[in-house]
Amino acid sequence: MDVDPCQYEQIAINEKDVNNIILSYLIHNCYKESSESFISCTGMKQPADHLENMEKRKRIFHHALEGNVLKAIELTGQLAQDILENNNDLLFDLLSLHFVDLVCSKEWAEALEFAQTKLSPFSVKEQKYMEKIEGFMSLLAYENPVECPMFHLIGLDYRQQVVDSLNQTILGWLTSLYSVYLIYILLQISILCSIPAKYDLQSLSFCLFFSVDVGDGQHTLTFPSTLPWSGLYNRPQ
Amino acid sequence: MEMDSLPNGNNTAGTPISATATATANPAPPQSSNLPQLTESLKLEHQFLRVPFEHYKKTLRANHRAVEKEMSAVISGVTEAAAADLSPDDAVNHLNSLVCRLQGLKRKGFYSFDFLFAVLSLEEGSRAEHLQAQKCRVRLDHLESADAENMSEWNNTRMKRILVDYMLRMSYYDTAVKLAKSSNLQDLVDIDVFQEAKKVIDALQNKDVAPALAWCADNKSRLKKSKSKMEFQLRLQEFIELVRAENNLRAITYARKYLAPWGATHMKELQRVIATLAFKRDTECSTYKVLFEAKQWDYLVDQFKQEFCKLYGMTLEPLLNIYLQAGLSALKTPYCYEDDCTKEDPLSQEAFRTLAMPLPYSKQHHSKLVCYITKELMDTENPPQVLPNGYVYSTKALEEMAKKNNGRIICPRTGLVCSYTELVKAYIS
Repeated sequence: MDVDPCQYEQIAINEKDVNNIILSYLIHNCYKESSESFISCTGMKQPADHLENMEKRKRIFHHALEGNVLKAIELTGQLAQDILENNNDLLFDLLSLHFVDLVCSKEWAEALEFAQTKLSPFSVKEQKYMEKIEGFMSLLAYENPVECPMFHLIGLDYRQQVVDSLNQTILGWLTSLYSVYLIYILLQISILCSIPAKYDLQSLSFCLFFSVDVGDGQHTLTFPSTLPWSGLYNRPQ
Repeated sequence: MEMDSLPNGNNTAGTPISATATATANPAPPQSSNLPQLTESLKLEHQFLRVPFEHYKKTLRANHRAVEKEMSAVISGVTEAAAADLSPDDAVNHLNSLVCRLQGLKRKGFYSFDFLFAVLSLEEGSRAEHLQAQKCRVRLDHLESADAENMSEWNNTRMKRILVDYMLRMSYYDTAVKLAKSSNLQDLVDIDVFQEAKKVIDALQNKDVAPALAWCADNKSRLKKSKSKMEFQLRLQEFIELVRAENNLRAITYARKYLAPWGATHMKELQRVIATLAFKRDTECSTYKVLFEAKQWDYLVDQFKQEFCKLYGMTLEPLLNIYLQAGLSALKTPYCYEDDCTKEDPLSQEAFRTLAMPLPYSKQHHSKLVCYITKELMDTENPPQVLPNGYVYSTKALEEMAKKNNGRIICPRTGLVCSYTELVKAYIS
């Protein structure tokens, strides 16, 4: 990047492209109301199924976060059959979330049966699942799972991490449908900013050092200096 | 039992010990030279003194707890009497019973059975203390009694002690008791200590952990100090048995009560065992299948024996093995492992080879030549002589042969006949 930072203010950035980036962020994180408001204020037009897909992801997202993991898995399967079938790591993590829910609800018998029928078959595939199963089963040895040395498995951080992984996986599948469109946007931005045309999104962080008033008097968006979906674009095409 | 497999076991087994005894007895006339050897020998008697002392300490601790219990009962009785409004006669009777309790006295039919049992327990404890203190004293006297005059008898007694120790460790209790009784060794061996271990071992072999857990509770502070995992491993095995019986909810309750406290220090093992709940007893996963095998109980028995010996200050190996290895370390040479190794060498036996496996080869500065005819050592007093055909025999053997054959020598290997005058003396470097 050979542009002098003092000249940022002089670079002419197409407002339309900035709006596209903002909208991508909102849609990525299932901010439906914000994205709808943003679209109406900026006069942009988006494919209808874009919002529909976001709605689906939102329901999956919330089911998983609220402790209804089996429903989330079912809805993901309805979206596309092979999203989880081809991703054993993610499927195991989701099933383990359900096991954790049963343990925290003190449903010991159901937790045991679930572990025997759903979790243990994974160990036949790879050794790493065996070690994970051991960690989860040790939660049963404590009246209060918080006292277990593996207590982080029942924490919100772990759950958020798994659900984020699910969201990214679904987006990865959805992105393949719109890859041409997104690459076009990226190329536009890189040309305007005199940035080499490669998918190094850290170089784009300067574009997001600002707040945007979307005009409805209720939302003010401040963007972080790193992009939450940066790993997405590094996926090989 | 390894020793049973030896065809000439008695002679071979006895050789090293006899050699030791003989070597010790030989310098008998000059008394001063005997003391260093005796001192070296006594270094192996650590267990001899330590075990009855540990047993004595254990009895003292148990009695101390019993006395404290009685004292607190008496004190609370006095407090209760002071608080209550008793008539003078009732008060006198109450105080009399407390005084009798303190003095350990008992009168038939005068006190409750509970009280009688308590008093009897105290008396038995006191008697046990006395017996064990006496045993310590007997052993000290026995070690002091070792001197030049009765060294042979003393070594004989020591060998029997060693054999009793070996039998007790191999669980041959009846034979050990008979040998100790016939040789009047009762105070010099630890039969009562091993009887205590026998109860636990028998129970473990019947898949019962209760006596072992009781033993762990009795010795809790000592085991904790040595960072023993014995209790944890017993708990793990009992958990496994619940999983085997598919008593899963009881297994979970058991884990919370008895396994969870060990999680801070032994989480890896705890996790692996808890995971059997998910894999069940008929799993093909080798990591967990091994936990359900019957030999896990054998490991527990071995583990208990180790902990038991450690707690009482015993050697982990039987004394017999230790003495044999001391002798074998002088006999082990590369020649012992070759096909033409002589049968007289103990290391031609498989059992001795196993014992000698971890030992280094002995350091021999000079070769030792043994006569083919007489099996005696050939040295400066009995020099080797060479026949015209090149074979070498000792002087004594050849002289003996010449006397019987009118001065003619017949080679036992080749049959060559020659005159005694044709022999040539050989020199050993």
